[in-house]
Amino acid sequence: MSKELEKQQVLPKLADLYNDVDMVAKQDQLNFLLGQNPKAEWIKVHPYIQGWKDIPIDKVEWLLRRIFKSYKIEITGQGTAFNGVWVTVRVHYLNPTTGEWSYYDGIGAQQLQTKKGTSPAEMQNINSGAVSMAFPIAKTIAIKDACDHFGRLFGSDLNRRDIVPIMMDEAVHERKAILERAYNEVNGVSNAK
Amino acid sequence: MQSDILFRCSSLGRLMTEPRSKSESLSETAKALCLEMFIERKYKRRKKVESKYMTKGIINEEVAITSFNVHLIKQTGQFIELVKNTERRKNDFITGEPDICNPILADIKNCWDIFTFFDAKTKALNKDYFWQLQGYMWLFDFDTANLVYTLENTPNDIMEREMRFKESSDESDFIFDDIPAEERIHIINVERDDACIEALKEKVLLGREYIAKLLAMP
Repeated sequence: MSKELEKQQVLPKLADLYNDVDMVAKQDQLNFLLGQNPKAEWIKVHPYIQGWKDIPIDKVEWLLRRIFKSYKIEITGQGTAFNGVWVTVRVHYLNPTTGEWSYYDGIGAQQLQTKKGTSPAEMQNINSGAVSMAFPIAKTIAIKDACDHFGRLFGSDLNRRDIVPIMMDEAVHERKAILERAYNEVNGVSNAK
Repeated sequence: MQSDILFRCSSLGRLMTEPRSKSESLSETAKALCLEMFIERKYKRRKKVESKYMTKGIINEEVAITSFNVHLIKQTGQFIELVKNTERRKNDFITGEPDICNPILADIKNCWDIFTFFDAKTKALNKDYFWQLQGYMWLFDFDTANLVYTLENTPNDIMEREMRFKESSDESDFIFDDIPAEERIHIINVERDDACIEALKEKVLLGREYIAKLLAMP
């Protein structure tokens, strides 16, 4: 008999990865929620990028308030590049499962508005107020970019072709309960764990 | 010869079918399998076999493992937790991934309906499954293996589809909750047979030889 067996793809079990399975279950529920598709009517096509789908900032902020209750936006950087401006932000949020603050970073940029039909490379073509308009837009884009990290609900997969369905591990807990009931039944234990 | 060609455990039954004539080394069924493997190897196209029976089995995999697990707990009185195996092993001849390999070796067959379940329960061990389990025992180094037949409820979407196309169908053809759980499971214990494993090795070599001939075709 051949003893040269090769092992492939041994996946760890949930319990092997975490000590606090209850906390993981809550996190799993949160991940499940964040893995849902956003409401179809929220999704808009970006006004400047053809075919690019997007969720408006008011919906993103509503989701932040609704899911995390507490969040803060920190501007971590800003500047100009070529003919536009850029902003980086850090979205701090209170993780409802752990009670700890965490954050995601994002970046956004916006071209400066110029007189119609002129090159933005020349300063004299830039409209008055272009800079004050561009920075808030860049900030908004940066917030959305950071929030993409939360998951599909925030639009992370709107422009991806191949996506993996997200499922909750609820079945794992349910299964465990069934097995415990069977064990208690056969061993005459009246109260299930 | 193509020594890197590995036969899947689930296909060993086809490889091991006896040829009609003693002068033949491989049966027509085995040759057909080799032809599929040749096409897969040379043209990267794998024959897809999909059916409602297989779909039900795949969807109900975890449920069936749980049923078997409950049965095992009730039989032994011990808390044993079976987990779906995700490890594929291979040796110099074959490759395979049984449903369960810890602490026991088992492969689960989820029956389509009560008739196929009782068919399996009353007939002799299916030869394809016998060879499949021999392959798993060889790969995972077990002396015994369990072939587990279960009868689980049909998933809703399959049931609805079936009922839409068959006017006379009623739900009891697909839902079996009224039948006690212990009557919806049938386990066959299969012993490892090293002589069979030796025979497997020989057939794999013959199969490779045949595939090599196909690969050499202009």
